[in-house]
Amino acid sequence: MEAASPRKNNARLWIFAETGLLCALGLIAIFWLIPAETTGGGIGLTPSALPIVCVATAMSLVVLDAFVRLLGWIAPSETPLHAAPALRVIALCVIGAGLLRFMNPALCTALLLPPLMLLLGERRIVRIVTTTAITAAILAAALAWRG
Amino acid sequence: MSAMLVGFSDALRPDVLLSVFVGILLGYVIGVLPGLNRPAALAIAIPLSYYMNPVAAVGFLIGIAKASGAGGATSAIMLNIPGEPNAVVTCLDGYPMARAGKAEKALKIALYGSVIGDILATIVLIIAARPLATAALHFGPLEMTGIMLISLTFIAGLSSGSVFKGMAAGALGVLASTIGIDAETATPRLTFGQVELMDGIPLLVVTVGMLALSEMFIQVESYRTSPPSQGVLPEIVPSQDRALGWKEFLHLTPTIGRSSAIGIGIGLLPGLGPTIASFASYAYAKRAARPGDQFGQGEPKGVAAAETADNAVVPASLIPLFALGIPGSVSAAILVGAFTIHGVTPGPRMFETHARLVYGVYGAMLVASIFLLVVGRFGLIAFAKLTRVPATIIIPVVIVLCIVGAYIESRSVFAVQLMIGFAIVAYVMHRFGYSRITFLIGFIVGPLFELSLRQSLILLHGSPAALLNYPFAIALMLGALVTLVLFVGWPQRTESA
Repeated sequence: MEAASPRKNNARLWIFAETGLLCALGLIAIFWLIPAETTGGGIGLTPSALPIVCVATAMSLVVLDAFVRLLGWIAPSETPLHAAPALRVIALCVIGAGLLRFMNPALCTALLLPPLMLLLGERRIVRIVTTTAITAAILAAALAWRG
Repeated sequence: MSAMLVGFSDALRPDVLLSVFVGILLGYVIGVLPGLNRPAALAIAIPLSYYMNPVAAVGFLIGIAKASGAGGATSAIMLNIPGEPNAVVTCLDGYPMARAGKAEKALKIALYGSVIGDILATIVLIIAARPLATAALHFGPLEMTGIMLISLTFIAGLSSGSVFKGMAAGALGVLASTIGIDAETATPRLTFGQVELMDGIPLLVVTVGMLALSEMFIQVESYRTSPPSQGVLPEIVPSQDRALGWKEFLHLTPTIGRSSAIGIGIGLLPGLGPTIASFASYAYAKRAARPGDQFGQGEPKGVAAAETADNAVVPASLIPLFALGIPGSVSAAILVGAFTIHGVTPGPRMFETHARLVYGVYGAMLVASIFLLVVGRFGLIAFAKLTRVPATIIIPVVIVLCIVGAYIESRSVFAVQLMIGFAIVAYVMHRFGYSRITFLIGFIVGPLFELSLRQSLILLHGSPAALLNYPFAIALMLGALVTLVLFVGWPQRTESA
């Protein structure tokens, strides 16, 4: 019997991990979150029915997809993980949203835009300052217009 | 008849004309800038449309949708970088034309093809939507449930690599739409004690998060891992072959006509979208090639085929929205938001309850086609120069606009946090091949789906045998099942709806 290649094993591991995680989340939703966050009653359909049907459907489809991929009917997608730059930007966005609690949105723009541009590899100070000033001015005007 | 005349005259009001013009201008700029696509542009523009009257708001958004498609051709022709997935096909012949000193001619062909395809599709929309809507009024809840199921299956199958993952994303979209006060029992559902969630998740939060902000995360990743090479922009050479004469244009008209028909046909079917239309149209034009045609090496017919079909899809995809209330594409899904904000529910009843608005929108669409031609023709060179704006400016500015723009609109940090949450979910979904588009369309049709399902169950009195009294509904549900089975063996595709 031919041994599976490490790459194929890795792909299978990813399929199991993805399916396992989603099914676990689905079960938590069906047996805990949805019953705790909905009430009874309703004509034709209780308030919890559709959320449960949606989660159960999504879970079944994810399991079916895993089967199909494991059987090799669909080739595993080859998306290499280079998530670090995006994760840094996401972190900055979260910080930016936090800053909105404490300061004016235009000021928040002035603080958020330069690190984002630096993160993307922009090193020309004039370009960073000009872009920040124009964007902050536009947003300040929008804010003033909205009252 | 009077509603039609008043509606069309609404489209000629100065405020509507200005909105459509600004929409076209904005759409062109966004389409030209690499990294920004039609859904992201529409998502960012939704808050701006809040302050307009319904005709102006929808005209503004339709202007963006139309012009961003036409503008996407500019970066494809000038830089060999498709501004949108559907412009990939334009690169095949557009870029070789630019390299051969025919950039301006290629841009003109793309523009004229886009405008003709767009006008023809708008005329088909005007002619076909009302009769279809009249027929749809005879559908009951069971038939509507069946139509929604078959549409979601189509969209799921065509907008992601796996139909199962696509449908799972659609189911999760419907799940997200159930958050808020339950319409029947008036009790909170899945709100986790958050007062802000009582009215449900705002559409703005979901669209901007799932389409615009998440797209920027994806762009950051691809930009940082493989930044585009610099200095590839070919200059528009004035002395070379740049004019598009009548004879040459007439030579292209059969291709433009066929591509318009393909674009309209594909736009009618939910989920297929402009990318598939461009590819199908290009493939057909290639098959119909005459001796001497050089597809792939700078053939004008290739540019015309891709761009005409791409722009014919936008108006055609509004036919299922106006006639059935089902958004067939992501642009149509975002327009649902614009209609809803102004108290209008898209669907067959719209022709009875808001006939004036519908004809106003039709008029605005025709005006947008004319502006598309004028703005595109006079701004050809200026827009081409915009392709030089680097991603290091575009991406950060769009991210800040999403975050701060959403805050200015909602004045709620919670809404901004929710939007970032949706963007992260969409980014993860994209990485693992779950369609963001299907999620969004599931979210939008969710309330209508639940209502139809509830009414259907009441009609059936809990007896599945009673379903036999509704043969058309059974046919639609079987159609959804057959579609699902057919899609299982058809792995492919990127998000395209």
